[in-house]
Amino acid sequence: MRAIWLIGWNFLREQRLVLLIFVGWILGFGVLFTFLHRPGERNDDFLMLFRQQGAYGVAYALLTSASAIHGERKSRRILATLSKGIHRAEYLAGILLGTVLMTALYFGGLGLVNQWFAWHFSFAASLWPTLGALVVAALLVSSIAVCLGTFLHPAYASTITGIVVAIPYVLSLAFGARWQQVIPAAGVIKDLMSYQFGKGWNAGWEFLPIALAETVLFWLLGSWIFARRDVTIAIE
Amino acid sequence: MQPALDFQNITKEYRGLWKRTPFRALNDFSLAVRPGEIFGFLGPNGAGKTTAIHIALGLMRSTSGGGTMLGQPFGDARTRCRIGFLAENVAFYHRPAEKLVRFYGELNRMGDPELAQRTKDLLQAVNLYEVRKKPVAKFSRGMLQRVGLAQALVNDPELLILDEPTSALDPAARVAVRELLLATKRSGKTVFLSSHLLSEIELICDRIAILNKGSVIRQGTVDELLETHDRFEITARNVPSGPFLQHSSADGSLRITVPSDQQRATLEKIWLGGGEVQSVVPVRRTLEEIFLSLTDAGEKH
Repeated sequence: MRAIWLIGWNFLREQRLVLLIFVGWILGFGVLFTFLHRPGERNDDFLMLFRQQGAYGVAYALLTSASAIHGERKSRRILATLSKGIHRAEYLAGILLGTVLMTALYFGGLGLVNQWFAWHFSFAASLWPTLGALVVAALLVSSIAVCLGTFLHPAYASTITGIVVAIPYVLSLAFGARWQQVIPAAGVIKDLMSYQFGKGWNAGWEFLPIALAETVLFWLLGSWIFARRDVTIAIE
Repeated sequence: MQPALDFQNITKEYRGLWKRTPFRALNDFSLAVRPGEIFGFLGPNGAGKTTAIHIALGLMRSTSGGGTMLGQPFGDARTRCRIGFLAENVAFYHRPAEKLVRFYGELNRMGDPELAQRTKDLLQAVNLYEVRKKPVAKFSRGMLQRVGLAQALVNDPELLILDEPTSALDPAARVAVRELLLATKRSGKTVFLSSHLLSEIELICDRIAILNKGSVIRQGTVDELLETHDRFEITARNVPSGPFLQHSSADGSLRITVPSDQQRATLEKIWLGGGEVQSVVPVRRTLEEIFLSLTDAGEKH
């Protein structure tokens, strides 16, 4: 567990600049809206920001995790890390932990800014369950992206992850909503798009055990594949 | 005695996505490194040295064959806790040197107070203790290589695998690293050293293997490799100047190198002329000469 924590924390540390920019971007909107918004006006702008930045958070997790292994191999930093007494599965778990920490901070920033809006402009908002659901969706998407990133270029890994996540949603349009639960990440995004501050997260939590189980499954699959991959060949 | 590192008939082929014929980096490669020795691993660029090292560490998988490291199959994570590795063209996370060495120590399941003491001792040994708070991103290549050596040694490894550890170092740092490796050997550890710096290898290694095109083409002790029995150096005195006019000095002393097939005839000439043979020794070549004569690098010259 210690090794996973070390790798996860290190991954977060390596992403700190991009994370700061994204959180700064959200905080910038916070400052902007605080001065531009008139009390008593509809809170559509906040809602749009919340939904949009929420979806961006999942996409951010996808892109970061899809390129994690490629970046480590390209920089050759992976050599010193994997030559130590750790398993490949621990390494991937560390990357997933780092992604969770990163997205938790991102969604935390988004939550704080919107909580500030709710307090400052006096409207009711139940944000945190929705943000929790988004962290879980980001984790699931990351596990698929990391799994594919063990043997694919990040561009392919992220594209295929997007397709894998979208397929159950497309099937649900034709064959019923239960198909959304096959890989429930897109369903969470869909529910985010219909989110209302006053109502909070009302899509239920049936997806949670499925998402967590699938995360473990993709992590195991990724570890199995990664353990059979050469990590030091030329990757371009 | 079980070898510290044992490669057994390893073949490694790289297959490109569109290439029909694979590139064979290692070809039925076998090598055994004994515990407690400093083993020099030589070969021109592309000979397969780094591939062999990465297979031993589990960073790559062999196409066929296998081997053991400290008695365990290649790639065993627990065994890696007992080894140290410094990669060629080393790259690290941009953290302060001290935290970086600690990070790698912790990955090897180390904890304080041992880790703190070991980190301090090693940073002092590689002369980086004064800059331990400085991020390694601001380090020169030589400093990076030294911090790399510190992270490789942090777990007090039983087997130290070094891929070009001194290539970026200045002469003083190179001497310091040499001393560090000799001290490692004195403490009973095994060192597997891949390097292009033949003089370094010649100075500190007990045994050497030369790799070319993925196979070991020569191995043995340094003395075994450097001595050749196809030429001999004869030293004599009171030699008549006649037959050796070009080689003898005014006082009749002689030092001459002759092919082995002319050794007997030359000695007889000296004796018949009343000369006294002082020594007949095989000519000792430099490692560089041997390396060039055996490898592709030599063909290019």
